[in-house]
Amino acid sequence: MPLLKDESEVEEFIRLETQLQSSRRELAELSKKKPNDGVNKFKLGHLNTMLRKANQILSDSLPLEDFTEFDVDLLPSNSDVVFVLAQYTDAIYRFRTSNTHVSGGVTLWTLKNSRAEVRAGSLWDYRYKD
Amino acid sequence: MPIVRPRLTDYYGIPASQADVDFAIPFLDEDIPLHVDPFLLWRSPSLQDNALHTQVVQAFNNLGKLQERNAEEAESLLIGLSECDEIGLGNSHTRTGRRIGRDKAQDVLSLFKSVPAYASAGFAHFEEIQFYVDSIGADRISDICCNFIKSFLIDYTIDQCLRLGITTSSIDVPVYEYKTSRIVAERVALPLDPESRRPIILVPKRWLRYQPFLNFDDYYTSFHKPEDKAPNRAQVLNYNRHNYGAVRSYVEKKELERNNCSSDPLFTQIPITSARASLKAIRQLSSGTKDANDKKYEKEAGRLLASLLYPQLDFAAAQSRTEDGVLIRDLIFYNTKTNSLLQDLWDNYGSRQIVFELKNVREIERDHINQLNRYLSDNFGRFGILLTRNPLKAAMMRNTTQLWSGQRKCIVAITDDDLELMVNLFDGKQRDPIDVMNKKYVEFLRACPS
Repeated sequence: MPLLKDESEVEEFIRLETQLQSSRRELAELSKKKPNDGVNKFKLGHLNTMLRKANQILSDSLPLEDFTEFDVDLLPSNSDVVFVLAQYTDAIYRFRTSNTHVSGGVTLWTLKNSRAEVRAGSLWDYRYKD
Repeated sequence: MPIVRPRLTDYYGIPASQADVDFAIPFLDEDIPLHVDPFLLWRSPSLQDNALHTQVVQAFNNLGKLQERNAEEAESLLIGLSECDEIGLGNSHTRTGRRIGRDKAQDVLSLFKSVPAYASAGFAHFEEIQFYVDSIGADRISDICCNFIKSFLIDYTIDQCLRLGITTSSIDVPVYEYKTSRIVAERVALPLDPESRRPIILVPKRWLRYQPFLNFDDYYTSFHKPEDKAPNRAQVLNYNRHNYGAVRSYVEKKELERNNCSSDPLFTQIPITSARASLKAIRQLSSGTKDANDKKYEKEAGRLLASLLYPQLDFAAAQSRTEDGVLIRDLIFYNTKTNSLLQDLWDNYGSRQIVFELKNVREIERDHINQLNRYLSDNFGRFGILLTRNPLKAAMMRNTTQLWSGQRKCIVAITDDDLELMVNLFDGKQRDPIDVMNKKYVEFLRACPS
């Protein structure tokens, strides 16, 4: 797994992680009611922006082979999107677990270019919950 | 091949969707089955519409005064005002109607004498004449109204033509002149029917209804109590002539209900429950022609697609043709170029109209593809859709991609599953059902050799 460079990348990572989880939660709700309904272009646009950022972070550890983002023309359904977001939230969580370490009872980020002690919080708190 | 059920805009190559323009797009060879309702002008919040209504009523009441001076002239004027072919509204299949006869004109004008209220104060809503004179209906009311405001409608038409780029030509048109109370010929620039060279006048959609808000059938219902013996139409008309109060109270009641009066849309999508019912009916139909299943398939698919693809595609017609002794059924849509797919089909395949060939068969065969292939030309361009029950087999898919490689013709299959997806999108309102057509097109292109 690649490492985050510094605090600003950590901030960006946390923002993305939160967005992916909240999107997954929202789409899962929709999917329960109408799994085959198409996702609108506005949502797909934002989801693709998130996926592009996630792909950059995960680089060679992408969760799905041959998939990088949604094709708006191919009408992905709510259940398709939930499936993909589930893979990505899990991959992002794995990234967090691989890039943090415990020091003196505190979970810290393992950074590439910084020796700053950036707290990562409890891993449990960042696990996706329905 | 000529355009199927051509509209004015299609002839001039203007891809306007009915939903996007302010006027009812006229057909070139038949009338639009709607009418101008003067009541809509009266109840409109627009001062301009109200002023036009006042003008119509004043001009109509002026016929009563003219009759006192010169009955024959008043009758001739009313006869001249009783038909307005340039508008193209009503039930004619040829865009030409018939004027009323002199007897009928005399019947109408006699109201100014026989009904004291009209003799003294004139009409407040001239469509009340249908409550006294037989054979005066929505069509006639609409034509008389349009003739009185024809000058305004001509200006409106010129304005709309300039906006859309519709070609106009100078032509003499009979117009009612308020100053002289006569019909005079005026040279104006109007769009022409390409074949008959007759002028065409456009009408705002907001003035159109299938039936006027004040109409005889509605009046009859309120007039006749269920416990009474039902009077016939002639008896009611005769009763009204001697009982103006009955008409007045009906009109006053309708005036109070004016907020219920709205224009009728030119096309109404079926509700989602009906769309689901149509889909279910299609799903339950067995393939083939047994029990007229092909006709049932056409009926349900036509009903469903016309609604699902609206407003991006305006439905033109369902038609049948025979090729090699086989009856082939099609659904034709006007290409309105309102999204990127339709723009692409217009630009790259020359599709001014889009054809859906209906195949209620279990499996598409080479002949089916060839039939549609031969049909794709001129206005249909080089893009067509096979509406069928099941996905194409690999060999048939290869056949369509070879057509694309060799002749750049695109034949896409839409199946029951795709229809179901369209209905789901129609219900969910997150994406347009036409996006399924785009999906199938994109999938087809990706299957084609690069």
